[in-house]
Amino acid sequence: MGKLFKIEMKKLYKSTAMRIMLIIVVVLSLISVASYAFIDSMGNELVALTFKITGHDIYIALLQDNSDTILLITILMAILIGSDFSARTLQMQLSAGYSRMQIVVSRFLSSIVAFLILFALYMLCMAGGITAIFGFGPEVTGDIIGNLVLKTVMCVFMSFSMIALYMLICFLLKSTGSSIGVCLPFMLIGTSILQALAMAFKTCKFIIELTPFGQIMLIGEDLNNLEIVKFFAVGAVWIIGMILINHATFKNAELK
Amino acid sequence: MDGLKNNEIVLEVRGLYKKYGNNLVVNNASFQLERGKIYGFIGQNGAGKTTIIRMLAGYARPNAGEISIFGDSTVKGLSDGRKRMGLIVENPSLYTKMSAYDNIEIQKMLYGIKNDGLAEELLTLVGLAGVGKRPVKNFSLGMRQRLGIAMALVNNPEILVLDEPINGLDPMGIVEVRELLLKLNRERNLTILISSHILSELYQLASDYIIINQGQIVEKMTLEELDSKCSNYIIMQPEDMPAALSLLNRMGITEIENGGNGFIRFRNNDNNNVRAIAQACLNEKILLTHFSVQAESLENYFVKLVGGANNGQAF
Repeated sequence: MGKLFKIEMKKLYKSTAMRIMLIIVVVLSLISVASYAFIDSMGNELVALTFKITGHDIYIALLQDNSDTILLITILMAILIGSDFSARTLQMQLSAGYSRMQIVVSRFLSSIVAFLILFALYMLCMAGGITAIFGFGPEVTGDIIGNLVLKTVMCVFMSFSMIALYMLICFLLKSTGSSIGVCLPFMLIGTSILQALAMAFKTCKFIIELTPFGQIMLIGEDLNNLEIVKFFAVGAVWIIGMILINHATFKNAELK
Repeated sequence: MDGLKNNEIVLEVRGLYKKYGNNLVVNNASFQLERGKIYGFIGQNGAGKTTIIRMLAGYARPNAGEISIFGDSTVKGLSDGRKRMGLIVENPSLYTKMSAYDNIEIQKMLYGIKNDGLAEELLTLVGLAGVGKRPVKNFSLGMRQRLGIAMALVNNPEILVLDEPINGLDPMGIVEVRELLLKLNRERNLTILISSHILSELYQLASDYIIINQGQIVEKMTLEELDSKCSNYIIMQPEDMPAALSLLNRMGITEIENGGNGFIRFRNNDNNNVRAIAQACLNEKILLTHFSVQAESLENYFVKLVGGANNGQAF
């Protein structure tokens, strides 16, 4: 298992797609920070009243909606897993005696590492950039830092469950193009539909709150201990569930 | 390889069935591979060769039947056995954006091999020493096949299963791969199962043959058995036909085919006959305007066995 993970890390290190993703994250952050700075420099009083942003605000906002990094990691997973199927490098690992479960878990772990790198870079560039220009906002106290750490852990953990879901799609479709073709519309349109359904119907809201998409929206709110436990429980069930479903389908898959 | 005996069964397939939908692709296939032998796996396109190889590799599961590697058919035993095998199924599995060197390094990591000089050694062995740093995406098909063989050798396998390994190789490349496989078989006592459409090439390489047709193993034989089955014929054109027929009858050759235009053909199962017949004709002053030995090739034998052009695609 450790060997498979090391191989995945080497692939990630050598991956052109990963390098492009890192560049995209930096460029995207710089553009966002620059646009905030530009709006601020216009000196419009109305804008200044309604559009007051700080490093703390942007950090919390990104934790609530980290769809950019999830989108990038999904594309990266589709590329890496798709090419594993098309170049038959997955089969190579099977014939080297590794189990299909080990293969699935090693891919999940490497995707998590890739996500953490992209996420950390995105947060650093965005929150760091905004803080440098507009300041952090509230006074930095132990409570503020504790709250930010908790919310960051929650966001990262729930992102893992989304990664597990999108990885399942990549394994099921076995092709880069098809995986991107299914995951992206779902991320761009599907999540909005879920939000709309949650607002319109109570039953839908209840169901959606049992998914990572519903839970991640709660990050910005003040949650009590029970809600925090529920948050992590939903995430854990999704991660384990998705990996088990992934293994069950991959276990019986015929590889060419 | 100390303590390993020839004649030891290293891989066995018993009553294997594989169905895709209603299509029975492998039908009760059974065969054994003995240590140190080179097996030519022969069959038409769609005969079931690759499907059997994929099941041996663990990429596909049989609907029925059993595979045993090094005498173990349990899930763990098969998994452990596969670690002692080298495989190329259809095309080599390669990370095309990485260099040949990196591909071998990854394969080393996969098997937990620490040998630092192994990548250079294997690249030299397959004639890719000079291009080890180049990305594989720029390699020709032949170079990829050679790299695939090098990667299959990383774990110092005891069984090498190669599906069409000489596909896309130029004539020089084919000779090099043949020499390489013979060397590996000789020096490492490697058991090799090799499928190929180039039957003349298999004839020069294999010591045993497994012939598959429409999912069924129709023949298993050694090179010697093949040679004895591939009958030789002597073809001659004597000027004095009655004298020649009388001479052949006296020599015990009675089954003589008339080929027209003064040609006759008869079976020759003993190569010593050729010299004796030629000498006898000379002694009897029978002038021969044509004298040749015709041997049936592996191709001819295969075509005859599977029913030739009437039975699917001919070679």
